[in-house]
Amino acid sequence: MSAITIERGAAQRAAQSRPTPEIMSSGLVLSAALHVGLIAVIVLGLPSLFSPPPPQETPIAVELVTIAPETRATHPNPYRPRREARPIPAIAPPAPKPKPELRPQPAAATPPAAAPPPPPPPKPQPIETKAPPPVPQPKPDFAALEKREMPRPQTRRPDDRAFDKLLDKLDQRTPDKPTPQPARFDALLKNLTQQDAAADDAPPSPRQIAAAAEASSQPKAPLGSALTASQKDLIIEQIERCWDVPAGARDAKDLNIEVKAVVNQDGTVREAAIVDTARYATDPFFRAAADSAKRAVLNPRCSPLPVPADKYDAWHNLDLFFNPKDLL
Amino acid sequence: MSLTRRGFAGGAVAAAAFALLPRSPARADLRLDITRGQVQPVPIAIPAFAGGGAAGGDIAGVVSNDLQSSGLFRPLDPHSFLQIVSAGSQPDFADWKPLGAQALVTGSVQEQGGGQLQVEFRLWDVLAAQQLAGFAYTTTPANWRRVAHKIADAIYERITGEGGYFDTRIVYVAESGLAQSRVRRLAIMDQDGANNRYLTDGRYLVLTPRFAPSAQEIAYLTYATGQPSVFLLNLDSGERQSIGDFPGMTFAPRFSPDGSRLIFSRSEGGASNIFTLDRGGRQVARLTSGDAINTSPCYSPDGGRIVFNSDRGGSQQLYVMSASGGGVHRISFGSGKYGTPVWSPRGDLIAFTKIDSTSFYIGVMQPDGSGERLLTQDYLVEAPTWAPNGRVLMYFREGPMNASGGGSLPQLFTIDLTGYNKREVPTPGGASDPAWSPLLR
Repeated sequence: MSAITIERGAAQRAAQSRPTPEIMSSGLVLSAALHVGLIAVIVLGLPSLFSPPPPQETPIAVELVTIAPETRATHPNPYRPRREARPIPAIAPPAPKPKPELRPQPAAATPPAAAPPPPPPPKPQPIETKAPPPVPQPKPDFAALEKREMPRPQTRRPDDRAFDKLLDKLDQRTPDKPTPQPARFDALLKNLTQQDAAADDAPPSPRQIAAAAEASSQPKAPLGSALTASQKDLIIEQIERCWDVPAGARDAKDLNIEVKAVVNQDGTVREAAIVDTARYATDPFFRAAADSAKRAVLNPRCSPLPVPADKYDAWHNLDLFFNPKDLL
Repeated sequence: MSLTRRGFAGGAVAAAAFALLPRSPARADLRLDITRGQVQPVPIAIPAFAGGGAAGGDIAGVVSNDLQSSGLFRPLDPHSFLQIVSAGSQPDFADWKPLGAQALVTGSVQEQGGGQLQVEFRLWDVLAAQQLAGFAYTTTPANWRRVAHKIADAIYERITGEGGYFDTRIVYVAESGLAQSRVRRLAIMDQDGANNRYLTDGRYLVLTPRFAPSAQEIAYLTYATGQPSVFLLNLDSGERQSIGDFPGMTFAPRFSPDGSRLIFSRSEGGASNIFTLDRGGRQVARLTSGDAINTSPCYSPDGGRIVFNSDRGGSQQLYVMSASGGGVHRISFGSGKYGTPVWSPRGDLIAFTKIDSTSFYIGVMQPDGSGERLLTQDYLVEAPTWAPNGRVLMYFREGPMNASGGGSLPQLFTIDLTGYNKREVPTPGGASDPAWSPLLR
């Protein structure tokens, strides 16, 4: 009984699971069609019938602007080859061949028409004559060498002073009204934008975007506001580029040279002065190093200084402290 | 109440008006710390001195060569100069700035009565537009090179703040011939190789000449008596004399900084010891004793201490003792052998020769033995001697001998303390054992 039941059950299940040929073929077709469709969707993706075609990619001009190319964090390569590290050159350079007759006339001889001719500097006159040092015995090749110090001629010409006064006046006037060049440039920009606006409603060019971004991302700082660290580093880095420190100097780490400098609005240094005049007068090593620091400030190779024009009051007077400690 | 409000409003208006007032500039100085610079030579323009015919150009040429050899100056090409500078007037600095010149030298040469030559010069700071130095010298025309060296010294001192060393001489051993039959003569020349002349005729071997502090006398080792012994040579009179009869060989002489004593080594059997000779009373004092080889003594510039080399510890090393011979202590501890120590004229360093299994080195260390630095290395480099300012060393270099017994003759070189500025010193033939004179007076 039970076996029959089992058999019947099995026969029933067999009958259920075995469809008729007609049903089987239509199901197969449907299944195949669905599978093909599914594979097509997987391979080709869902059809995007309603989305708009992808926009054509246009290249965007990007201008890379380096704000502070160097900061204090970047140390110069200590192993870079130095200029004096030459492979044993011959000691005697070719003898200089002075040809005075071929050289152009000295520029000083033809003063510019506008400026009054500088008065001839006073002919220096000997102040002091040192007697020849006492020589124990007369020696043919140690002939007496008389040495005396040459007087210092007037180092500043009168018209220099007048020029300084003129600079002072200019300097007093400049903060009140803008310098002519930026004004003209602004006007030019304004004209350009008006023209563009009038011409068409075309989207602004990348250059215009960049110009606009530059203006807006740098809000005009109030006068007298402090310089940022990277703005200071730019100035420091530039002066350091022009400071030629004598190599191998003894006790160089003990040098502390303070130089006060007055800077014009265009970033050029108007004047520089060494503060410690007492040590300058007595210590030849300090004097030499202080002069080199002053030359670094005045060197045209490093002028004008990279100063932010809108913070003139912050950098008008510079207090520079020179110490070659990072060099040793 | 209304009064208060009005007062408040007035105050606000006043505050607003104050805020709108043009602010007076703060004038606070911007402080910046400059802690790095460029280690590069100072560009300097040295046009020919005016007047004096060829002498004007010659003097400028010698000054230029001196300054360039120091490695601290870069003389600019005279062909680039835009103006002729007349002596005595202020140059137009605008003509020199574009050339990159930081310093400018102007000068003149005038013949005076009595066959004298007057040479003037001025050193200018081109960027600060001011005179830095100015001197005039009167001398005989034959002395023009010394005047040029003195001018170079004055420029060097003013720009670097340290003493110059150009008006100096070198005494050395001139060598010629093959290695087996090498002829050695004492020779003297200017620091730049000019005015070379020989002091001995080459019949006897000579070694290790040393200048007295006066630069008028030389102590050296000669085989003239058959065995090595120390002689003195007076440069002015040409007179030669032995320092005295001692048993054994005497060698490695040097003068004390005040010139009153001579320090040297004397052989005692297999050992060598250090003695001093008081030149006034001719008394001899012994400073070391024992079986070791103690030699190459050299005083510190203050005369208080002596550095020498000794093999008392097994290998040849450097030792320092007091001028009376006490307190001996070793200062060199590196591998290899150390020899020929020389105390710097400014006292801060001791130069030496170091020998290891592969090569020779010239180096410097501090008097306590710290901070050893090797400046140059070669097959054979030896006998360092200091320039008077303690910034430059001269030594000689010799290459290996070839199979036939010949080989390169030794040559003189200078190197500065940075180790970067190495230059050959021109000599007519081979040259070894240089000794740098003090600054001439």
